[in-house]
Amino acid sequence: MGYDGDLAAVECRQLTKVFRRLLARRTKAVCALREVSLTVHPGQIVGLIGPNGAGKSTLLNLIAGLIFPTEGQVAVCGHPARSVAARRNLGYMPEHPVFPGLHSGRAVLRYHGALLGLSAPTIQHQVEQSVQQLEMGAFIDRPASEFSQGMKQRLALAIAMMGNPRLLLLDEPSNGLDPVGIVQLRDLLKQLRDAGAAIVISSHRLGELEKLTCDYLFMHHGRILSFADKAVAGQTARLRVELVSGGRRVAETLLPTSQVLDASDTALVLAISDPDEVPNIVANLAQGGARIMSVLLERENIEETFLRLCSEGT
Amino acid sequence: MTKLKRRIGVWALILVGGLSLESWALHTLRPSAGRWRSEAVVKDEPVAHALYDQMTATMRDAGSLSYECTYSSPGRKAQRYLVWLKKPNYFRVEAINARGARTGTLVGDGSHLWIYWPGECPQIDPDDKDVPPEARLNLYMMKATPVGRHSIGHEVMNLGPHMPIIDPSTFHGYTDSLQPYIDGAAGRGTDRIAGQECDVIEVSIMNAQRTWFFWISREDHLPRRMKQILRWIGTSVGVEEWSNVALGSDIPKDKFVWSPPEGWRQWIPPDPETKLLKPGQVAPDFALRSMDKGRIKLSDYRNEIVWLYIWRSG
Amino acid sequence: MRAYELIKETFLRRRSIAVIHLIWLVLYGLFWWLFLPDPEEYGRFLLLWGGFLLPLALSAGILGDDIASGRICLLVTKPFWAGELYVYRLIGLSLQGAMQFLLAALLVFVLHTVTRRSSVSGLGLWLFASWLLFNTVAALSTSVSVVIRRVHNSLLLLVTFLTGATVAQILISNLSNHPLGTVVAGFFRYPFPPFELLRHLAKGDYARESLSLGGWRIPTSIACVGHSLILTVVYAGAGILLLTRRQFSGPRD
Repeated sequence: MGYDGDLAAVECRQLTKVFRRLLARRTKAVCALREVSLTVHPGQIVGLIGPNGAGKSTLLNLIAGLIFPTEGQVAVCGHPARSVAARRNLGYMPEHPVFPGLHSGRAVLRYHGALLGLSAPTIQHQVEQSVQQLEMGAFIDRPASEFSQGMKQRLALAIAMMGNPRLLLLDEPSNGLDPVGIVQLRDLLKQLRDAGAAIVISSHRLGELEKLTCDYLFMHHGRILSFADKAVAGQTARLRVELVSGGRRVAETLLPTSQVLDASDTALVLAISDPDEVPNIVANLAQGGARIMSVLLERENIEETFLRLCSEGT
Repeated sequence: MTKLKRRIGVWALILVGGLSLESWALHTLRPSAGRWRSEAVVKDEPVAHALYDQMTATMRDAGSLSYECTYSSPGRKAQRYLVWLKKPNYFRVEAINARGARTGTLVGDGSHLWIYWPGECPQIDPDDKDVPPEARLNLYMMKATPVGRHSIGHEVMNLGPHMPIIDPSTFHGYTDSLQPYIDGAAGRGTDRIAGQECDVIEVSIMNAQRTWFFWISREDHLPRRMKQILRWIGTSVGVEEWSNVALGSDIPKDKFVWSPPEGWRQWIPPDPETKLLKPGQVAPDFALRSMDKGRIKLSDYRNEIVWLYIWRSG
Repeated sequence: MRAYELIKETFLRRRSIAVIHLIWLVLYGLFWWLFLPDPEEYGRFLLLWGGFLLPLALSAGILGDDIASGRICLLVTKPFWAGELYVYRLIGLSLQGAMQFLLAALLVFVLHTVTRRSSVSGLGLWLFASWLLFNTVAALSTSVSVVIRRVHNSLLLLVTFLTGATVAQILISNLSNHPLGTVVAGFFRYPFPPFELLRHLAKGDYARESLSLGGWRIPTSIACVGHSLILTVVYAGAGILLLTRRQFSGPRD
């Protein structure tokens, strides 16, 4: 764990990407990324969070070398993004993986292993390892056109992980995975992170990312809103107090209005800045006659952080 | 920097090499513009010319000769002729088309030749309304055959569309009108045709307006294959292959005997004089492609004297 | 390994490829059987069907499919030069063409031995010329498929060539005595796949009955073969340049 060496896995400097349609009557340019700068170190997991159209896929494609930046530079392990040396360290998993229909999943893995330039025994070994790690044994021998979305995601992940790349780019990896698969994915990513790989994930399902210890990159309209680590994200906490009745009366009489986020007859939601305050507040309420059924400390989750940042930013 | 220079150098070399190769290829492939090429004129070599003369002499001196020749030309179906020749003035030619059907027979019984066809007479214009269909059947042609002064090769045109390259009348002592115009004969190596070793000679006629190639067998000094190239507005090529060549064998007399069966009528080709323009008649305008002036029309020469000279292309 | 896999992929890319090969072989046999053609007629049929239509059919969407479906993203992010993708697929196409022509030769030989009709002389040269034309058209089609999605590259080329041939015929026949006529004829003859030149080569106009006879016709034959190979390389180079400079995104492309 931790950052080793001084060679960053990914280094983006002032990346700007403008999509211009070639035959547009008026230059209808879409600015997908605006001056994005980012550094990812080995052993770090970065989650890209943002609504659709925020530029997450564009950023991933830029790092993978699939598209060229309009301005700025991007380097992978010290080499420019489109060069062969950069691609040697890269594993990419697209959002909607497509496989040639006629081949079995195993043949697809072997094909991609051959594309990487591995020798035949290495490919064999890697294929077996992937099948075991991602538990694809049940369906790996069926034609790839018959795969469900979840199977395709696993196969795409196996392909991305082949060759033990130092940088993994995953575009919406949990799309279509069942809950068991999502847990497996998380464990796998943690393993890879511990082995020293850098991982960049983009997702709009914030719940799964939250459980990975990773750094978040909030994006909106092509700009980075904030680059935060988990500690910061969970800063504001809330206290949810459930009462038998009389919640509104208690809120009006016992608590300052600034602290009350939401009040109803059976539930109170309070904002607290320090978890140590909780016993005092509970004692306060109980003394004031509130009949408390349950007390729950909720940390602000990523969604709320994100919405907060969005509203702050605009 | 030197590596970059070297790469540029290599690419420049490849480019220059490719361009020069391509320009050489284009130069060599340019069309011949319809003129007969002076390069095609053959310089006479005594040895090869002797082979050619020996071939002619073998045909002249033989007592009898029979062979099967197949003439093919691009864009046209192959035509087979079965030829029997016997001294002093006997001959028989059967013409067979590509499907194996006989299209006509020519018989010389020593003083006259007879030409007859299994179906309609091909010399009658199919659209001629004056001749009813039943009047086209059961016709034959008859001509006198002075020894050494008539050409079987020309008569064969009544049977099929091709004239043999070597006139069969050479056997009877006839000299082709092209013989005085031979530029020269040269050797072109050896080849093996149908199991026989052959010497290959090239003969050009009239400044390479016409070129003949002969594959002359070493065994009997008779050709097994001939190729003819006519250079006029375009280039026309024809190949004649001989097989079943029998020199000096005994040919039964009844091959050269034929008399018209009951009810057959002689067909006399219409006198060309009837179709010629009468003096004082206005000539119809026509246009022809010139070798070097594009299209010329008769009306271009109005008020001038025009001498129309039609000759056999060399 | 990589070359082998990429070449193998060209053969197994779509189910229709095996069907196409079969149909073409049946057509060759049928044409022979029904029309008993001269070697020249059969050779012209081979040149048109095997040298022009076959590569269009086999290369339909050869790169366009990958680009349209987004699969190209998985291929281009692998650590090899993107041009290799083009080169090996073209080699795969070329091998398919060679295999097809060898099978056609075998088929014709068998039919000829069985039926003892017509003749097979000179067909070897026609097959070779058809293979050269196959390579040129395949390179052109693959290059076009880099920019045109799905199977439209073959359709586009087919339509273009048909209209181009018609236009060329009209222009050349009308301009035959105009000094610009040679320029126009040259324009249609040289930069495009060399149908006419290869036809001359195969007919034996450039060599006397076979390439083995010596003489000054050999340089012209070599020039024709060299020209068609150079054209193939030029088309392939253009395609490789386009492929390596191109940007890819997902299936939206």
